[in-house]
Amino acid sequence: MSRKLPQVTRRTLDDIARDAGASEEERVAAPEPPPAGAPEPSSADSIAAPDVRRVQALALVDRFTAWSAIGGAVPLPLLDLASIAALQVQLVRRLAALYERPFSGEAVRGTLLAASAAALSAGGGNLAGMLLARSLPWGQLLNMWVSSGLAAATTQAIGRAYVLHFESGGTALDLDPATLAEHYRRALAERGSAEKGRA
Amino acid sequence: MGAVIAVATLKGGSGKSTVAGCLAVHWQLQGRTPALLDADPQRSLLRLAERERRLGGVAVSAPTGGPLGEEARRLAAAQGLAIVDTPGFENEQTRAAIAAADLVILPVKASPLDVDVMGDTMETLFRLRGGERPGFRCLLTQTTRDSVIARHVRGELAAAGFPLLRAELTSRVIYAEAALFGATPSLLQPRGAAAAEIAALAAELDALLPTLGAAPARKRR
Repeated sequence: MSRKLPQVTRRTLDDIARDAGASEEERVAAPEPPPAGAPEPSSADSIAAPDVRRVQALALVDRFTAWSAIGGAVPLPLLDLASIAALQVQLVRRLAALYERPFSGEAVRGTLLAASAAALSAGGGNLAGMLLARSLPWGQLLNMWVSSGLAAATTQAIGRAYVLHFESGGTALDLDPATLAEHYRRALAERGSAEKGRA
Repeated sequence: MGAVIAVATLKGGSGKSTVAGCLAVHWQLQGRTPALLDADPQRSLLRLAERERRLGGVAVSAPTGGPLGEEARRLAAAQGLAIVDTPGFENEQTRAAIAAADLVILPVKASPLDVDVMGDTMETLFRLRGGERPGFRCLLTQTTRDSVIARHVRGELAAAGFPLLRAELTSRVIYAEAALFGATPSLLQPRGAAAAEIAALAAELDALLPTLGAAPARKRR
């Protein structure tokens, strides 16, 4: 058959994205993990209902949790901690954009640091032990496994804490580090129970 | 954690339930534990699961009435993978499924009407954002094998920038025959051409999901 068939569609993907008011960034079919400091897409014309937004937020937390687990498996102590910290700040940035709340990287880094210190001082023996084990040559393999799970658990705790905080009207600038530390402790305790159950 | 795949289009008859069921059965046969969430009011998957072969033992459920997206993510966390079959029209459940998904598959037949509605579905998908949007892929379904129209539509869609899966599900009698048994081609004729197409589609998605940040589906213990 050699006859010329007419056009199937007059709208391209870009036309549809434009009609929907999507930004250039959002037209990418399969978004990669965002680089730290990437500009936020506009959500001014979002039609997300509250339930949909919460689901989007929790899906975002799940995705960053998965990336953190990968980051935690990097066997280079400083590199993995830096990449996980950057991912966690980026997660809060994305959640703040989703909930249309003001964001400051500096403020969030301060909150995360204060919460980590509080969690460590109040029973973060597992975390301290893990950090110590890094220096031992035999600890590397075990360490990759432990720190991957730990990174995932803390990222998930941060994500869930900020989702709850934003849902109740808070902003990225006013989350109490003590509240976040409580989420850390719960996440670490849950992880500990899960490991015992598996053993 | 686990991946959520939503099969969505705002047009009925495009093969949503077939795609969702075939993928779930294929992965189940591979030793995984996918969950099917049947949010289509026609309840096609639940009806199939009541027939003789019970969709190969795949866990099929209807939404419990809570937020659908949260339910899908809970199922994905428990089972490693949740596939949501959505209504063939826009409503809160369709939007929630799209919002919760790591990947949205848009089945489209090689016809101008289906392509038009696929565009409308994408418009909904683009609007459902706010900082985060799922990856999506179009899937040609019910095509006539080696037909000029199927090649023409594929070429046109690709040229217009639509992300198309390489895999394609051609129209075959085995789908209707399998449905009589509550099965899919992978169960009834595992070495048949339809099962091979489903396997190719599943393999393509397996490669795609990790690039979207979704955890790969895990195997049964």
